[in-house]
Amino acid sequence: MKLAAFEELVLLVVGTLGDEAYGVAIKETLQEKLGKNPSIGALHSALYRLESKGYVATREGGATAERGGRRKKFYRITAYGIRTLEEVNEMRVKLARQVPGLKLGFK
Amino acid sequence: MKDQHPPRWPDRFLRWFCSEEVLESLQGDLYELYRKRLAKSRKLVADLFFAFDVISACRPFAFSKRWYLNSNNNFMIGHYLKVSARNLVRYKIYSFLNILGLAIAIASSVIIYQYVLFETSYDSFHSNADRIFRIRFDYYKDGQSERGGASAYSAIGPALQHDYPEVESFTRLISFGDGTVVTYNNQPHFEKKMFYAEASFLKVFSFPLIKGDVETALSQPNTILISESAARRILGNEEPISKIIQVFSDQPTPMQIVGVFKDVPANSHIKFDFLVSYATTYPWGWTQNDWGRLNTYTYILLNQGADFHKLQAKLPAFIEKYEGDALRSTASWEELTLQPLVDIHLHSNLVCELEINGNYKIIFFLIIMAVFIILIAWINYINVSSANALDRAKEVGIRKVAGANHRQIALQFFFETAVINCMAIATAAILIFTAHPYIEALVGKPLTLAVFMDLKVLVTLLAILLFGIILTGAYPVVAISSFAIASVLKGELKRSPTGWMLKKGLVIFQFTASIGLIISTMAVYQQIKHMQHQKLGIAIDQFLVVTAPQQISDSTFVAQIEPFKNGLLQLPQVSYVTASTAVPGEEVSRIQNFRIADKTEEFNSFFRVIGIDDNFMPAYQSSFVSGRNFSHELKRPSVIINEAAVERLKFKDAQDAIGQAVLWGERNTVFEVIGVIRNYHQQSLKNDFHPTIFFYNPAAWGYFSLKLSKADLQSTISQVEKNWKSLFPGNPFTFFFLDDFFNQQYKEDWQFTRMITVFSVVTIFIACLGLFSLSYFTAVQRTKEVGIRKVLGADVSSVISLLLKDFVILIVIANLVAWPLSYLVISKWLEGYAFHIDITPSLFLVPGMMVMLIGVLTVSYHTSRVARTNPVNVLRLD
Repeated sequence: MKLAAFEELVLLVVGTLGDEAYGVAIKETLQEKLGKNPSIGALHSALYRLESKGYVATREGGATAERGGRRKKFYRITAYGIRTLEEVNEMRVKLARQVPGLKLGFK
Repeated sequence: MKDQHPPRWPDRFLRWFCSEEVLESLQGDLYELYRKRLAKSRKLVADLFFAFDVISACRPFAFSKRWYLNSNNNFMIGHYLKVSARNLVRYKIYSFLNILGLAIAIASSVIIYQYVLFETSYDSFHSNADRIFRIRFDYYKDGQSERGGASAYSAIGPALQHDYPEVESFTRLISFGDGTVVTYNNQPHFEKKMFYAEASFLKVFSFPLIKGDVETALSQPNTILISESAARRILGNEEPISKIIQVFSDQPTPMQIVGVFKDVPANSHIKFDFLVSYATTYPWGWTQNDWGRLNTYTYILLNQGADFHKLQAKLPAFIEKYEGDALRSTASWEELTLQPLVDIHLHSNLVCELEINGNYKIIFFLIIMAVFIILIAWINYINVSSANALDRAKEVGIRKVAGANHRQIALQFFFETAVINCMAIATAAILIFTAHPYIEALVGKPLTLAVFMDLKVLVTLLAILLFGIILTGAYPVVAISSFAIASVLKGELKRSPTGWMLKKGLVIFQFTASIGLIISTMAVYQQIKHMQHQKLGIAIDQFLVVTAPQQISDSTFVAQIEPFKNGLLQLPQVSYVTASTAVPGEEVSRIQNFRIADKTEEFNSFFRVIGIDDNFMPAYQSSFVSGRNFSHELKRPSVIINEAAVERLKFKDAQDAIGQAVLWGERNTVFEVIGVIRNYHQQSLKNDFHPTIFFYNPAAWGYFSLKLSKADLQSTISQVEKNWKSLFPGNPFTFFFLDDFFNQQYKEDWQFTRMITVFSVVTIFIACLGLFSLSYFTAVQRTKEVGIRKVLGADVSSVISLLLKDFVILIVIANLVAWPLSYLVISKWLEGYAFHIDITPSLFLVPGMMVMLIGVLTVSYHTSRVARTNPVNVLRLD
């Protein structure tokens, strides 16, 4: 398995957020758009795995007082990450077509 | 403005486990989330979420690399083990002393713990133990207590159950007193542990039946239950159920065995081999509903959840209801107290106890002793290993230079401590198991090793030992691992003054504890010895006491008694023969009402009653204050009383009492007082003198006391037995020596004394082991100083005294602390004895000097060695 379900979601959110993807922002997006409420630990754990698999790249942001003087860590989806997402999606659609009665149209 | 900072503890925890890399972004996110939550809700909620988030982040990805990278640490364990072993070998003697001291201390403490567990386990094996209470009965006359007894009126039990719904049931016991004869197949056995017990007995208490039915056993008159071992003893291998055995209860009575119970456990305060059904006693008339005789032991079982304090508060009204007017008319009062069953063994010391009970003070003393012993051993370890630290400073310095961090050095020293402690624990376990039979003999109690199988006990022990490892490991670790590298390697390390003060303080504590324990042990020893060697007021040596025949009717006994006595007097070795209902060394169980004859009933008071013949007073060399002894020619019924009785009857003095008439309350019979004897000790000196009245009864039924002149005992006994067999056939011949019998009362005290003597020797031994090792390390550290002093002209003796001074001062301070403390303890303990020793200065000085001497001898071994070294050897390298 290249991507766990939760990892896939996080990767998608990182992709949608563009240059603004960091811990809290990702968590809030997951909450607003998907109704998920992962714990910050679970989220960071997933991000760590994505990073080590090479699906995301990181860069350091500026420190603010609000964050106790800690820097933000911004995530950006890599080309390899995008390709993996495509592969996963393709495979899913291929499989789904073989399920009788399953309509794949987009609303 | 709310406090913007997240709670500190979770934050600290986060920083502790989290790697720096992850921390940067994770902590930032956490702070940001915290701010946002804080804006929306209360601080407490935000704090809790923060803590939760931190915990959620506690996952492997976040862990600091130091948790993995140092696989070196695991690898190093092998190295630590090697270094520990090398150090053990290098300081052979001191490792050995360390381990020995710890092992002895652990073994002693565990043995004491085992004993304490046994003593506190009394009666707790009953499934209803927390709901069972014994009725304690107190009788007051003119506001003064005359009797605080374990037995009471037979009517109290049923009345309590009738009046108070919280009393679920009750059960009564009547003792067979000193025992009786049980006959089977014409084979008589003298049996001591026997009771009449109500049918409810087996339901209130949990004495399991092996054979027979709990519901019906003990319900029919003349039925009997018998213990497993007694069944084997009396019936051999025969099936006991339905067998008829003959029991002498008032008269020989055939009784049917209806059940066999398991032998009563050693930690039961009621010990019995036979239970005769209570219904057997109904014909006597006073065992069911009587308010006059104090012969019944009553136990009540309360409902589940009932509060015994509430019932206790209602008992004065209970006395008022049943006896109020009668008691007021005689200026007396009674009090009933509920004694929780499990408290009886350690907290009850009344008249007519079923056995000699233990004492919670002793348990308390032993616990303190155990704590002291283990503390002293731990302190030894701390002192020795931190004194040793200086020797190892170089090793630590090198390790630090080679890159070891604080944590690794601490780990290494903890490891060494753990190794030594584990070796000590293993040695202690071996000691406990090998010493077990000797310890059992020493304390006289069955201390089963099975207690260690109990999970609770095991966990407690392990927790204490683990605590010991941490405690003893922590100080040296802190002291050693904090050395600054540069100064260690340059050799500039000095003793830190705080560390030295702590060490001194610990030594003072050790010796205070040892001296205190030795003083207390001496006090206990002297007190017991004092009691045993005090003049009793009568002579009990050279007495052979034969228990009177039980298997015989009243009339034949009287007919046989004169020939028996006269026959014995024919023997050249026997100088006196006297018959009495009681002999010195036992509690007089007959307690009855008397008053001066012309006074009204309200002057009734309780007296102990002993029936004697005219030889009793001369045989026992009891001395008369006034009046005379009984004789055959007495015309009127007469009594002899003791001085305590003179006081209680309120006669002016012993002279005044002579010729006065006293009235026996229960039978309204008048007796003339013909003599007053000096008080003598009927029981051990733990008891006060009791007012006693002696009846004249030439056929007194209880014991024959034979005063022997020095002669071949064996032949005397066999001749007495021959006379016995011919006159009282079918009765077992049982005898004892009176001085042994009397001293039996001190058995428990001697056991206790032996035990604490052994353990206080252990204490001082362990303290000296520590002192020995400590003096080695301090002496070694001062070798250079000694060398310089000698070069400058100091002689050996002045150097020795210089080195000794430090330790002598410590022991002197320890003495000064220990004396007042032990004075307080001893004087409190002695209060419990009616006749006790005076506390003299020597009680404190002797142990103090002794410990000082032992201490100085211990220290001077190393000191003199250092003092005699050639200064050249120690100074030439500088």
